[in-house]
Formats: sequence, C-alpha cells, structure tokens
Amino acid sequence: MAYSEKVIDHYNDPRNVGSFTKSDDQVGTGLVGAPECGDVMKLQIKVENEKIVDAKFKTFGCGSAIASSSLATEWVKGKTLDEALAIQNTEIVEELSLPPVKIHCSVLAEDAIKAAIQDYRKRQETSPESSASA
Amino acid sequence: MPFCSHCQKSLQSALWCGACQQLQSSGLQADYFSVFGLPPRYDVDVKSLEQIYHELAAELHPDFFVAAPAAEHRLSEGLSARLNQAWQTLQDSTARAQYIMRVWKSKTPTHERDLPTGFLQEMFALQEELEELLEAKDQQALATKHADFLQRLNDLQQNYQQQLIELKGNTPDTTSCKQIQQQLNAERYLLRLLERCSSTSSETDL
Amino acid sequence: MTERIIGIDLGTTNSLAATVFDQVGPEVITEPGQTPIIPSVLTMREGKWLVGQEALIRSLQNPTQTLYSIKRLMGRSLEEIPVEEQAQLSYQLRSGERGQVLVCLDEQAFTPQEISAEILKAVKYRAEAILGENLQKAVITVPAYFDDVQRQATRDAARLAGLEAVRILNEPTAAAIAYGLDERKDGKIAVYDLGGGTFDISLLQLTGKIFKVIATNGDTRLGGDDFDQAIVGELTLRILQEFTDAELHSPLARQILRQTAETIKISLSQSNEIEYAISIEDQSWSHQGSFTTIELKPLLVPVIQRTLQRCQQALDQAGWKVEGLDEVVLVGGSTVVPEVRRQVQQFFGRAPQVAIDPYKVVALGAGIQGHLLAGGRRDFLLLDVIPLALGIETVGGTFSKLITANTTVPTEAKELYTTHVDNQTAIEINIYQGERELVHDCRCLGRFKLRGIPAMKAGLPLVEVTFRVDANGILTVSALEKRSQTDASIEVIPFHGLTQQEIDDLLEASYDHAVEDFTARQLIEFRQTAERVLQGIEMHWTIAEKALAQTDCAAIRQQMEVVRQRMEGQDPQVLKSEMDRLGDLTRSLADTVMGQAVLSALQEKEITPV
Repeated sequence: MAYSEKVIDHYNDPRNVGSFTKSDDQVGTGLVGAPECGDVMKLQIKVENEKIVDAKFKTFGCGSAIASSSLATEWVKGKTLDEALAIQNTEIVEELSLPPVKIHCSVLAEDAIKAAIQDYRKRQETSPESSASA
Repeated sequence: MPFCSHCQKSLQSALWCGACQQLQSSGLQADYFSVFGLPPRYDVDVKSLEQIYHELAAELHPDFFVAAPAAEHRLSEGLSARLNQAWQTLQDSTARAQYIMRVWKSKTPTHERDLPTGFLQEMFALQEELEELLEAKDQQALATKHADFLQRLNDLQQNYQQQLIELKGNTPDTTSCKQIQQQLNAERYLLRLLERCSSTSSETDL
Repeated sequence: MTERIIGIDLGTTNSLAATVFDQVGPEVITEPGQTPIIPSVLTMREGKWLVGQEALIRSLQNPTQTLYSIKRLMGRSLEEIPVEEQAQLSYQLRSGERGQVLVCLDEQAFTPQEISAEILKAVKYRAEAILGENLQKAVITVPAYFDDVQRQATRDAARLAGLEAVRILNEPTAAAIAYGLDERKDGKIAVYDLGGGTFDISLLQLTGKIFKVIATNGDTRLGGDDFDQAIVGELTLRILQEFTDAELHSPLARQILRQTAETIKISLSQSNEIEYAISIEDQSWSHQGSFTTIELKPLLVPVIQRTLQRCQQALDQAGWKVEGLDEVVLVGGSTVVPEVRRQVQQFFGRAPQVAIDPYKVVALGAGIQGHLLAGGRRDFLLLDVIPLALGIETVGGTFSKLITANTTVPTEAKELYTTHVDNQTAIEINIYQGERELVHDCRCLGRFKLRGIPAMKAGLPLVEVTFRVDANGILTVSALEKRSQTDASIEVIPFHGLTQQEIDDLLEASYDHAVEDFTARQLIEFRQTAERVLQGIEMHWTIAEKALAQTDCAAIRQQMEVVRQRMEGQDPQVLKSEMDRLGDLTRSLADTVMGQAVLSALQEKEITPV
C-alpha cells in the first residue's frame, strides 16, 4: 500500500524532536508509556494565553510511535488547550493509516497530549502569579 | 469442566472428548487452561503439560482428518491451532503470567497501564542514557548496562512468579493484583531496554 | 486402506517418488534394477515435452532449449532473480504481467509452475505405470525455508499435473521422519539439507511418537549449483588465460562449462585429482587441465560457510547448543561432497549420520507421511513450524509481525480492523512474509481487499480478520464484521503466484494435450489386466496340467513369459497384442476343461480397445 508522502515523512524525518526546559512555567510535560511494547514518549507544549505556541517530543519506540508523536506535535501547535484536548487517537490512526497492531501508538500520542496539558494546568494552579498575563 | 456436546460426559479437555472421541467445536473459544483440563493457576508442571499437549495433538491434528468431511477437517485445524497457541503460552513463564492475569481480569479491577511510582521517569532517563552510550559506541558501558538490566529483570520475574505461585489458583485481591500487574507491565519496559542494548551490539558485529 | 498417497521429492536437480508397500515398508518407486531418479531437466521436441534423462542427453545439442533448476524460479518475480544468476542460465527468462518470472522456450513462455507440473507428471506417470494404480494424491516436499508464495506455486504445479498435493512437506522434516522411524530414539536432531539449489537446517525434538520441529532456517538460493558456479568461474579464468579471445558466454559454452564443473565436483568426491578437457564445437581452441581437491577446497568453503551461519542462527532461535544435539543427519545430493561432510562434522563436533541414501531419504519420508495421511498408520505425528514471520505493512514501510517464525502450525492470529471514513465498505491489507524490519526486505504475499463491509459511521464496523496458517505453512485470510455478523469477502491479488483464473485456464489448455496422458493411462490399464490374467492362470495351473497336453502347457508358459516382458515395456499396443495371443492359447482351456472360476477370472476384464 502506498503511504502518502506526508506519512512516510513523519517517519523518516520526524518534526519537533527535542525538549524544553522542564522548569519553565510556560511548559507542560507529558510522559507516557505503552506497556504493550515498552515504548516511552515525552511530549512537551509551550503555552501562551491558553494557546499552544510550540511543541516538542522525544520518543523511544517503534516507527509508528515516533510518527504518531511527530504528528501530534504538529497538530497541537496553534491550538488552544481545549482544542488540543479534543484530539482523538482515531484521527491519528486515520492520518497515518495505522493497522490494528499499532493502534496503541496513537493512544500513546493522545495520552501524551492530555498529560502535557494536565501538567501545564497543574503548574498554573501551584504558581498562578508566574503565568502572568503574557 | 464442561460436558461433551455429543455424549454429555464431562470433558478432560475442552477441545476433545476422550470418551466418544468427538471434536468439540466449543473448544475454539476455550481458555488455555481448560484446553489442558486444568484450573487457572500459575504453578504448572511444564513436563506434564507437554505430555498432555502431545496426547491431544495426536488426536486433533488435521493429518488424521484428511478423509473426514471438510467441516470436520476445518474444525480439527482450528482446534489444533488453539492447542498450539495454548501450549505456546502456558509453557512460557512470562506469557503464562500475562495470560492468567487476563483470565482473572473479569473478576478484578484492571491495572493495564499501571506502573510503580517513578518507574516511567526512570525508564525515560535510562533510554536517554542508553542513547548516549550507543552514539558513543561505548561497548563496555553498554555491556555493563546490559548485565544490570538483566539482573533487574530476573529479580522482577522471580518476585512476581513467587507471588503468583502463592496464590495457589485463588483470584488475587485488589492489592496483589495491582502489584503483579505493575510488575508485568514494568517487565516489558525492561525487555525493551535489553533489546536495545543487544540489537545494536549485534548490528555492529555484521 | 483408502486411496494411496505417494511422496514426491520435487528437487532442483532430481525428482523421485516413494510409497509404503504392504509388507515391504517404505521404498522408492522404481523398476527393478533402474534408478528411481528422474533428472529435473526438460526440453521440447515437436511440441511435446521431454522430461528427465532424455532431455538431459539432448542438453548439449540444444542448450538454449534445455530447462533445468526451475525450482529456483518458483514463486519469484524476474526482478528478484539476481542478474548474475540470470546470466548463468543457458535459457532465457522474461517478465510476466505481474512481474512473475517466465521461462522462454521455442518462442513460447511458461511459468515455473507449468514446467514443474511437467516434472511432476513424469514422476506421476512412471509411478502409475509401476504401481499399476491411478494416482491422484501426493505429498510433495519443498525446502523448509520456502515462503507462502513458493509453497502455493508448488501446490499449483501439482494441480496442473493432475495431482492433489494433500500436504506440502518440508524436506528436512521428511528426512527426519525417515530416520526417526528407523531408529525410534528420543532426542534432539539436526537435519542439514544441502540440495542442488536450496539449503535448509531444521532442528527437531523427538519425544515418543511426536516429531516436533523447534526451529528451521535456510536459504532458498544456496546449494550445489553454487559449487558448480564457483568451479565454472575457475575454469573460465584458466581458459581465458590461455585463449584470451575464447567466447564463453554463448549458451552452448555455458552448458559445457556447467557440466564439466559438475563432473569435476562429482569426481573429486571419490579421488584427489581429475583430468578434464574442454572444447566447444564452433570454436577453434581446446583446453585441458587437472583439478585437485586442494584447488577445489577454497571454491567450496565460502558456500559451506554460508550454510553453517544458518545452522548457528537456527541453534540460537531454538536456544540450543551444539553439544546438546543427539544426532546430525545429512540430506541432499550435495552432502556427498567430502568437504561438506568435513566442515559439518567440525561445526557440530560429531560424525553426521548418513545411513539412509541422501538422494532418497526425502522421498521416503514423504512416502511415509503420505501413508499416514491416507489413514494407513497413526504411529507418529509431525508438528512442523512456519519458517518465516507473517505480518502486515505499517506506517513508514515497517513490518509488523502477527505470527513469528518457528510458530507451530496450524496456527492463527486475529486482528480487529475498523473504517476511517463514513460508509466505507472496503479495507485493503498488504501481507508480507520475512524476518527483516522493513517490508521492503520482506516478500509481499499479496494484497487482500476486504469488501462487503456494511455501510456504517467511521469507526463503528468491527472487522475481525483471521490469518490462518495450515499444516502446509500456507496462509488463508478470512474476515467477519462482528456487529452485523456478515462475512466480508476477500479478494486476493497474488504478487508472484498464479490467480485462480490463470490456473483454471491452464487446466483447460491441458486437455488439449490429453493424448499423451491417454497412452500412459492405457498402458497402466493393460498392465493391471495382464497381472490379473497371469494370476488367474497361476492359481489354476494344477488343473491345466492335468487337462492339457504338455505342448499346450509349454506354449502357454512361454506366452506368459512374453506378456511379463511386455508389461515392463512402454507400448500399450504391443502388450495388448501379446495378451490377445495368450487369450487365444488359453481359450480352449477356459472353454472346455476348467471350471467357472478360471473362466470368470479371464472374462472379468477382457481387453477391449478403449
């Protein structure tokens, strides 16, 4: 089956690999794992005014997990936190044509987004003054 | 144990009736333990399991149903596949542990993604460490890591196996269920680390 | 017992059949004093196939029209066959519609399946003639490392030959059966099978009546042919050194070099040095020289080393150590090469077992398995494995395994698929087989199109796809939509094999050639009748001696002998006329003197022109 150029690209040349400083209050970090295969995924978002302005990831896992996280970082950029929370793993499955054996990779990416947002919000609660009105 | 769909006698194996020699189509969905006529408990004598496996294979294998009607031949194929999978799973101590937790799943709360506190963070850190060693091609450090992980894996396996054996076939309570499942989940991450250590070292061999 | 199922070893270089005879046990099927082997070599004469020895003899007269080593092409596409290997063949290849390889002969093109079918027909007809039975079923052996496509191709070849391949059996496993039943000892055995074109290593555990394959490994493009090619390379160098303008690439030159190389290899299995001479009809030079075992060794070692690497991989897969083995068995014609035996012995640290003729052992095992499948015995059971993982393509061209290598067959794996678009009614799955990380390095078995999924919202349908591998190591795929309980239909597009339509068309076409089949069948028919008549006469001979004059008795005896001789021949018409004469001589006996028994024995099956 011919995968679209775009999909293969996410695999061969993943976007947004790297990390932000964890301590930055604008940053939310999600660390998740898939017990099905032992993959670990770290996804970070940088937020300004409830909007995700940048995202980075680092994934130790199979190609599908890497492509899923690459795609997830592309998608969340420019979205509000609520919009990003609405991203479903099935959308990733469809975009990457993941077969059933690899669906957990998309679940991982969805979980990572949610975990990152949750982490960001928790930070805002504990140190509300630092979020300021940037 | 269920009863034979043909002669109504109780079945030794969910796949086949020893009394009237009939294949049991309900066996296609049988759980792996009842395939061998065993209750679900972790401590299995693999030697006697193998003996039952051989005895059943010699009755069910499609080689002995060549002249049978097509439907019966197909059934023997399906039941043999079930038997092979059941053997493959139960003879392996890790696969058996995972399987028995699934059997108990209906009775206990699930902890499918649960891990010991801080474990995931540690795994991520170890993966990053490994990445550096791999890039630096530091074979000696990699070998040390490999030995460490292996030791940790062995300890982990021995620990949960002991817990499973002590259950003696009783369904675990919430606490021990959670503990065991956490260890089984953690095992996969350790295996992944080990795989990464050795896969790259063998690649450099080539 | 029900219908006989013979075993056929369909080899790269040689083919033969075996079966289990009542009282005698497993034996190769052959005429007394004759070789059971039919060389897997073919040519065409006046539009008819010539198979075996006859074709081999003519190979130097028309090298471009002689086909050999066809097994190496089974289930392959042209682009999968390396250019060097294509160049080594003296016949031409081209690409078919879906890229599958075709063999050119007399301006026609044939699939390897069709050509293999002709070899199988030759084996079948000879076996029918000898056994005096119509044969429709067979166990056909293949290298253990054959993938699904190659197995299907073999099964299709059998169909085209009018045989049902009741079982596609792995060659090393077949050999293990022959040995194991012979010795009946529990333990771990390794079967090292080096044939003309393929190499297999299989590790088996024998426990009571169970023969369980633990791991198998191999290379379907590695065999004795490679020894020959290495020798050809050396000969080429020598000739070019002497005659720089020698033309060694013509089909005739290649054929001569290949046969010289083979002769050198075989001769050096018995002696330390051999003289050879090479000249080619239309060229002015002639070259002669000698070859020693010392010169031969460096040519063989690289090939043997490749086989031993595979052995190590198999041991690793099984988690076995060389020291833990109880027996090492040698199979395949190429294992008669002394250097192979030496290296194998060194690797395994023990003298290999060669008690059963390595040329016959695979066919014998297949014959025994056929006996079991026909219901003739239940004293053993073979549990074999799938040699290579089966899986599907995932994002980025990676290969996701659903069934791993060395899983005992039959086996199955289920996957739940769903749709991504509203009212989507079809799903496409590409299935691959192999051991590598990327599908690019694995074989594509075909594209499976699931159709007939009920129209629903995206994500709602639950399509359970079952991948089933049968005891032959052959995959079938079925699908069920679980919400509606409807079977999704599956259209299979094989990438290298034949489609159902192509097989049907070929079978249709083969009715045109029914004449030669007819002659063979008539011969079988007449032989059976003759056997019955001779038995009838023998049974009542004492009565005949009393009732008939001594001269009449002698005449009958003499004619019986003539009939016996004609039964060995290949001409049904000659046999029939001698049978008629015997009928004339015994008529008075039947009519006047003897009781109803003889009469009925003679009349039961009158020979009438069919």
